[in-house]
Amino acid sequence: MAKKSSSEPSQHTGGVDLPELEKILEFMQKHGLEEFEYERSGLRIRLKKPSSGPPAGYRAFPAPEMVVAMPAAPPAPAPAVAPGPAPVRESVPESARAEDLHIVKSPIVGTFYASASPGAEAFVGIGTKVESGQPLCIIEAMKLMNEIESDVAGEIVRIFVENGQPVEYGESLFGIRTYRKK
Amino acid sequence: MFRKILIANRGEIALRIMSACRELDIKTVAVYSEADRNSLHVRFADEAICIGPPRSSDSYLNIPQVISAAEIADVDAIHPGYGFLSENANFAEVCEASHITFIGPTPDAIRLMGEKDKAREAMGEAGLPIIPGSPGVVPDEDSAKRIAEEIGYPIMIKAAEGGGGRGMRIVRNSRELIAMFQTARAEAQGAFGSPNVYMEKLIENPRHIEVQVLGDSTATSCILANANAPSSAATKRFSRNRPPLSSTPLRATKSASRSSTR
Repeated sequence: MAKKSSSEPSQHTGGVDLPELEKILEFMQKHGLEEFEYERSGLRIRLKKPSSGPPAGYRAFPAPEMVVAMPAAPPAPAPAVAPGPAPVRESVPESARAEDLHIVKSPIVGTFYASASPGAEAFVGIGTKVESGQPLCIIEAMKLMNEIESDVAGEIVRIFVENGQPVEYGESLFGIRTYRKK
Repeated sequence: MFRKILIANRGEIALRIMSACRELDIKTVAVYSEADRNSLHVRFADEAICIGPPRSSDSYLNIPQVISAAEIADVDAIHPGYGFLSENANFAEVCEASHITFIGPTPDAIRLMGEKDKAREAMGEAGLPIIPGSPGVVPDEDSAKRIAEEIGYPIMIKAAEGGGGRGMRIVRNSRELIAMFQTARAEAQGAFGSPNVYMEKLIENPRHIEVQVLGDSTATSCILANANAPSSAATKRFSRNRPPLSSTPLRATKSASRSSTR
């Protein structure tokens, strides 16, 4: 989500002129950089590409986010600071969509666990064939362990999360290739 | 001071709270329903967690989801904003049990104020001047008749668990009383889950002055602002920063202010 402040004076870009920023962007592209941070006498620039994992799939605007931090500036000039939030996580990564998989998403907020208890064998892995209603993982919320069941029959081909990872509502957990109906 | 706060709300109040957090160098966590994925409050926060489908009851009002989000984001406190869970005593208790500070009154204080008849009683006991009315919930039609006579018509029947200007009925004479009493109880039951009503003398053409008092856990309090509020049944809580009209007797304003800090 880049705030391209065209030819506005330095008030909006915090004392950095646009050609300079463009040079940095070029530099990043050329060297395939995801993130670039630069500090100089009280001015800090941070450019970050919204990382989405596998490069497959189109993005019309791969523009990096721009965060310009002013030293101890009062919050008054609102447009000057473009806030850099954690990018809202995409619900389904591009490559998975292309394959037309059934995605099992998290129905709750919590922590993802691949197995029933630490050290135990994972419920499923890539290649595991599952039935509808079969437990796939545990999501812990408020100290309660919730078993998440598959809503389709098929084969696990993608696992989008790692053991111990916090997940939000609607987060993609598994990609299942359902059996084709004959 | 808190290190990180989750704001259990959205829209302008979430933005206001996050603004304040920025000034205080507190990290912010937004929660959102799927419908609000691209909302401003989501983008303004340091972190954002999706907590449910579009319906409020499944997301912003879903206590387990909100608490779970607070846990995985490892926040120190939750700010409920206004509306939603801000006056939910149960939510305040769940926060306490989860060792997350609820930025607001204690569960007991919320409960007390939520039950209007008990709130009246408590204020009366604290020595605040209150509108003449029933000593508590009016249990039946006979009591209703007797109490209404004592107070003197016109009176107002109000739902004990009501709020926001709803669940109220004006009664101007004894002929209307029973019918109004029954309707009010039925409406209260439907809207608030409890048929309990109490009565107050109706003040016609009042001058409604709201005094905002801010207090913290050290029992320090101060008055924020006196606002002239419109006195219609459909009053909604939008901007309260209106100064009293210059025609409002200063004496009345000062007296209201003094009472409210007791």
